[in-house]
Amino acid sequence: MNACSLQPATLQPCNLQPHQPLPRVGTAPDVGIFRAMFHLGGELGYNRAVSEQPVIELQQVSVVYPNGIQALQEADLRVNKGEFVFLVGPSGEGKSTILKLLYREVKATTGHVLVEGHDVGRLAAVGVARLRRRLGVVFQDFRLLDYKTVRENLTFAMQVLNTPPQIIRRRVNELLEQVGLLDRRHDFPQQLSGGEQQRLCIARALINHPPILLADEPTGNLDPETSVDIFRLLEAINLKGTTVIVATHDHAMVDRMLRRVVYMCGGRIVGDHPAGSYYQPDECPCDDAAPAARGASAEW
Amino acid sequence: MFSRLEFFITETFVSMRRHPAMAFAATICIAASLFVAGIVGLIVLNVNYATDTTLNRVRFNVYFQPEISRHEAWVAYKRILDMARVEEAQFIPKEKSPFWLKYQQNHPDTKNLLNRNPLPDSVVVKARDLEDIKALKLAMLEWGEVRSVRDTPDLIQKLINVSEAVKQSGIIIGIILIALSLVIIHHTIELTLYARRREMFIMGLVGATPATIALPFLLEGIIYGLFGAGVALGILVPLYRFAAQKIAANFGFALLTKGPEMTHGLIAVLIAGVALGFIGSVVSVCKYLRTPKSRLTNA
Ligand SMILES: Nc1ncnc2c1ncn2[C@@H]1O[C@H](COP(=O)(O)OP(=O)(O)OP(=O)(O)O)[C@@H](O)[C@H]1O
Ligand SMILES: [Mg+2]
Repeated sequence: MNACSLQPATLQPCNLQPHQPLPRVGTAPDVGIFRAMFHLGGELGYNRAVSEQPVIELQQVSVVYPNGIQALQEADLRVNKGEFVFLVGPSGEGKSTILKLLYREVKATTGHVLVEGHDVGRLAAVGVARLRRRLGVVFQDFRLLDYKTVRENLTFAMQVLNTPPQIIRRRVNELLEQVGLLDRRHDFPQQLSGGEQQRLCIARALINHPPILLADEPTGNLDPETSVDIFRLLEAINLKGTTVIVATHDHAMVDRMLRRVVYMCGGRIVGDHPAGSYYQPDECPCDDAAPAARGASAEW
Repeated sequence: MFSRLEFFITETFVSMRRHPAMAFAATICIAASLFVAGIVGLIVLNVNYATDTTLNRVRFNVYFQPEISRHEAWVAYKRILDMARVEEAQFIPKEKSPFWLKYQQNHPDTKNLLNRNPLPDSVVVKARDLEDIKALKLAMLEWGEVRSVRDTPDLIQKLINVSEAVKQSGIIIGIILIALSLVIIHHTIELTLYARRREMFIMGLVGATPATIALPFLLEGIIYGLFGAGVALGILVPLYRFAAQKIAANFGFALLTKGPEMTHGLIAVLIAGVALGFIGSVVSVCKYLRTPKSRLTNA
């Protein structure tokens, strides 16, 4: 079966059922899914106004890795200030590559990548450093420093930028409060659960007040219940005005949150569903000749 | 600024504690290099000092014909004294000749073995200038009373030879040791970089400039250099003091123990240590920062 023509029953709005019971979302188990979704969306404010000002633009971007793999083909994408965007698609189709382009881990082979109006491909080392102060990045595997406590992990990210100690103290406490780790601040990452580690990773990404937050499969290692926590946190962050882009395989959450969904397949952006509509994969150009896509379909 | 420096120094020590064996190896290697360099430097300094002070005397010996009388020798001595380019001259009657004195001292019981002193009377001449020596010698050799002229210190040439040999072998040993130190520091820093790739990744991610990312590693190299220099000096200085004492007591030869050369030497050792550490780490850090970013991705 073709990965992209795959339309699992759960994706269709009429018979949409939660993959798992929604924890902490509905008030009672018998609450209808629409109400549950309204609850989540309403609570987190998906329908708040988004400005028309683009903060991220991909113009005809292609990426060919040194090993010859074409990870992205002439992708066009525009993300406005304050938007919450899901990047979805089968494994190995270029979602992470898009995020890496934005924080300049990877350079576009052709085309332009603009972040807040700056062509990131043209930045020199200092420019890249400045760009990254405007971006927070969250990873599936958290990438915390094991030998530092929760607190020190956050402090580190500010000390590196030469922030005065008083400001560090205030900001760290504020963020620990926000992600609910204030009473765990003296613990080491290994003493935290996966969800708590991810909250710490998010806190670190936010520490220097970036206007844009990029998350690469933030719930990839977490159970569904914890994932809801994380997405609530991301929503709350978005609500405060931060533009959020999340690459994810977490279909249940994508279904539930009714946000803009950008669907990727074969290194191309093949679907772009605006916020508020149910997401359905379009028919997509990849066929049986795309083994990566097919292999990935099982994961879906 | 102060808190920033403190931060980097703390980070540096954290990383050194993570691989103490390599930190130890790097420090010891720098210390060994600087120790050997220090010994070579001290020998060269002392040889220079000795040759300088000896050459300053610009003295040579004039030996008269053994047949001439004490009076004739004395007259010749007066002539030497009158020469314009002679600063001073000292008449040494044959019975006061150091060789004869030494011979008698060494054979106190067998005075009769050589009871007639075979040496001629002689004069120790001090020229006004080093360049005058040759002309003076040639002029005196023309005189009938003079049998030979000789440099007092054969020692000088010997010292110059020793000093050259020490310098040359010192340079070779020094180059080998410096290369070895650089290689070891380079590897130590690479290990550090590997151990700290996640920190580097995070630093880069939150927007630290490459210079900021490199700083702790450069500091680490410099600290190895300083520690190494400290260890080298800590052994070298007391050892040299001890040697100087022993030599002074047993051979009556004073080694150079103070003066600007020694201070400069100490500073040079410290600077060399810092430079070694710095260069070693710069090489690794530059190499690392230049590698494709994908290597950093899996931090
Ligand atoms: N550093 C790299 N060097 C070479 N090829 C790479 C590199 N990173 C990714 N690729 C390739 O590029 C393609 C797209 O990778 P990417 O990581 O963007 O996919 P993805 O959509 O994030 O997949 P997943 O959902 O599994 O995370 C893949 O085929 C991958 O093998
Ligand atoms: Mg990915």
